[in-house]
Amino acid sequence: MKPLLYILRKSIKNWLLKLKREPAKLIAYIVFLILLSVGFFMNKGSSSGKSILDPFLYTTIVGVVILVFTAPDLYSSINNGASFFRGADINFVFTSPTSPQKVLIYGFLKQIYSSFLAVFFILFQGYTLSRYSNIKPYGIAVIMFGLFIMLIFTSILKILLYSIISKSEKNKVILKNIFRILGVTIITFYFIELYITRSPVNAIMALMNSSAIPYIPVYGWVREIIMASMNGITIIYFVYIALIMASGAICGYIIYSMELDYYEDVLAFTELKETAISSTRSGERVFVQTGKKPRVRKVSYTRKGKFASAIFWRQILEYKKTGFALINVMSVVYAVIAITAGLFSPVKNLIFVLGGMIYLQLIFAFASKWQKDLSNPYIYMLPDHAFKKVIYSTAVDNFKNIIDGSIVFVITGILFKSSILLILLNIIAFASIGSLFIYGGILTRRLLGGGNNIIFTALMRVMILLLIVAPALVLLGVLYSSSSDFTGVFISYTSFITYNLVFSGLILFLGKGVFENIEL
Amino acid sequence: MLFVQNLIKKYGKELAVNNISFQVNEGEIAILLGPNGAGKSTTIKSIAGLLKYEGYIEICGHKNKSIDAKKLLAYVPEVSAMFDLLTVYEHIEYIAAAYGIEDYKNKAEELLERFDLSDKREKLGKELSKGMMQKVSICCALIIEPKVILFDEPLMGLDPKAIKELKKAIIELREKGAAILISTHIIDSVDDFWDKVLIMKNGNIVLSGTKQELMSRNETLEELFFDVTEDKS
Repeated sequence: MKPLLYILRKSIKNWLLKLKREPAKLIAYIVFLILLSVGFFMNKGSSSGKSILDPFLYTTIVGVVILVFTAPDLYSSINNGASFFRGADINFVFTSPTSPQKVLIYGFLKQIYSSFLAVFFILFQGYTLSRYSNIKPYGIAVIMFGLFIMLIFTSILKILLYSIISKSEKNKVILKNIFRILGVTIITFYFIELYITRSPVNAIMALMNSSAIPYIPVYGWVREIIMASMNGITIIYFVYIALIMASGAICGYIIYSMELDYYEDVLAFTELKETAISSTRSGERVFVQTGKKPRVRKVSYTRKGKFASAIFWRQILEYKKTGFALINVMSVVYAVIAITAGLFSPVKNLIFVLGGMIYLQLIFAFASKWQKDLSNPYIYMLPDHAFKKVIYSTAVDNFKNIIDGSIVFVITGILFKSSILLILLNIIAFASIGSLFIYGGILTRRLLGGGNNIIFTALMRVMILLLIVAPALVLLGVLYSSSSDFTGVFISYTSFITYNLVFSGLILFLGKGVFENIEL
Repeated sequence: MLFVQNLIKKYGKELAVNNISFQVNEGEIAILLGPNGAGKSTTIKSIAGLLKYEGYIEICGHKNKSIDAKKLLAYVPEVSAMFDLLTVYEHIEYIAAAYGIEDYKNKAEELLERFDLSDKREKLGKELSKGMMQKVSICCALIIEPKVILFDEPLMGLDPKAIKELKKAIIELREKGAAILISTHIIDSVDDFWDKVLIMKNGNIVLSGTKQELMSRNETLEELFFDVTEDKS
């Protein structure tokens, strides 16, 4: 075990020494920490002006967060495996004369570190939570702790699940069916609640506030632990912690005594993980692939273009292979969101749909087609003007925004009985801020390059992007809220669109050299 | 012809390439040798126009980052990257379109045959092994019939037949008058066909010369390499 602890100790020490050698990065981390602390401690003293957070809503949010962060992760571990390890561990640790059990403990210690990093970002919510008077002063620490032990337990459970299914194909079928039954049960209960309440939001709230939840092992208990941020810490809080720790220990013991030959199973997933990490590092979309043969449609590559336009037609070909023209799975997801919002939204106003769509764009801002092209030297080598390369490599993303925008706003517009002009304005507004995201993304890539530090670079990218789009959002918000008739609404939308287009153009000009130099 | 003058490349404060100059003439195969971290890949990437650098690089009379230069230049990277959703043949078709080459079909078939890719033409980029990716990368470079071609460790991951075919293809390119620059660690693999050698160490060219110029030293390429790269203390 000593050599394994040596790796961990040295890694931490070298990370700190590296920070010392790169003061700019250190300063950035310090600034980031100060910002987090400000959020955390702000509003602490004054209780006046604080509002009350609805306990039902809070329970629902906590429940949904737990469900969203664990269920898909656990299910994917059945198909793709799970791994605490990196490529270097496989090459140097797996091959060393150390027992698999010790290696597993080493992996587990590493996981604790990454789980800690993950929950650290919850501090961002510190300010939001401190605005509510019924959240305890130590609330954020309780939430962080709850999520921390949840992530660690989930990691152990993932390995256990994968160890079980790797024993036989039959186990895999059984576990998959258990997951399906659980999924169907939740959906059934949801529809029962929907039938009773006649409101999708109330149905989710009723479901998440069910009195049965605290009895669900681990995840129900985690919810109760997190809820202590509102309800306060009592004896039962410590009981839940003890129960979760005991469950984790039992799972760990089962894994430990399973006569594991998990190296082979871990190998494939670690390779996928390495690919994902290197993709993220170079600022691309993360395409985590399973070993399965990818499903693509057979389409003929008829229009190929010439020079820079070849990029555009190649991207079209890629879209055709995975969908119908530019309509793909994402468009279907948008359509479902639109229908749900159109039918069930309590406020029938397209501006809220636009807000939601912009938020989704921020999440998917680094998953565009042009990002993927950056991993390949061909785009840099291609003999054409830099400007043309940027235009052609982003054209498909812009068209995609127009199509997705049309799907969402035509559906919601019809369901909200909005005017055609307002629907059109929303489509253009969505597409225009989409192009601001695209060219803002290009500019951040130009400014920051690939970046070796995933978290740091990703954070900086999001921050720069937010700085670029924030004035547009403020402009729209201020003008829209002060408008009393359609002329005011029209002016707010056109101002928003104008800002987006003008700045997209400007940023496009500044970032056009992105395909000229790649600093590897 | 490839012409490099006073090339300097720094990564932050670290000097990767220290003011090097050389040229590779038409119909000449130049081998870029050097230990790990000598600056070979950085030099190749700078010539390919993938890095920012100080100095001057010219491809057949055009600045290397100009469109005219790019039309004449091909690059086979050390680590091949494919488009996930494009088949092997579509990669070649795409490169032909991107370089404005219309009459490529016979040449494409010939290359696929040569590198044993004919039966894999419908395979997607993400289904290829590293060796196959390298072969596709070579085919993409050769389809444009370049006047200057850069190979960064081209033999890595190739099977013996592909190595043999690649060597033949390189000699054919030389016969057609292309300037070829190959960076490699495997000295034996290039021992039989090099015309010029450039040996790098710590970002500097520590030895350069043509086969004729170095013949007087009565040393093999490997002996020359160790002579100039090993510390004599």
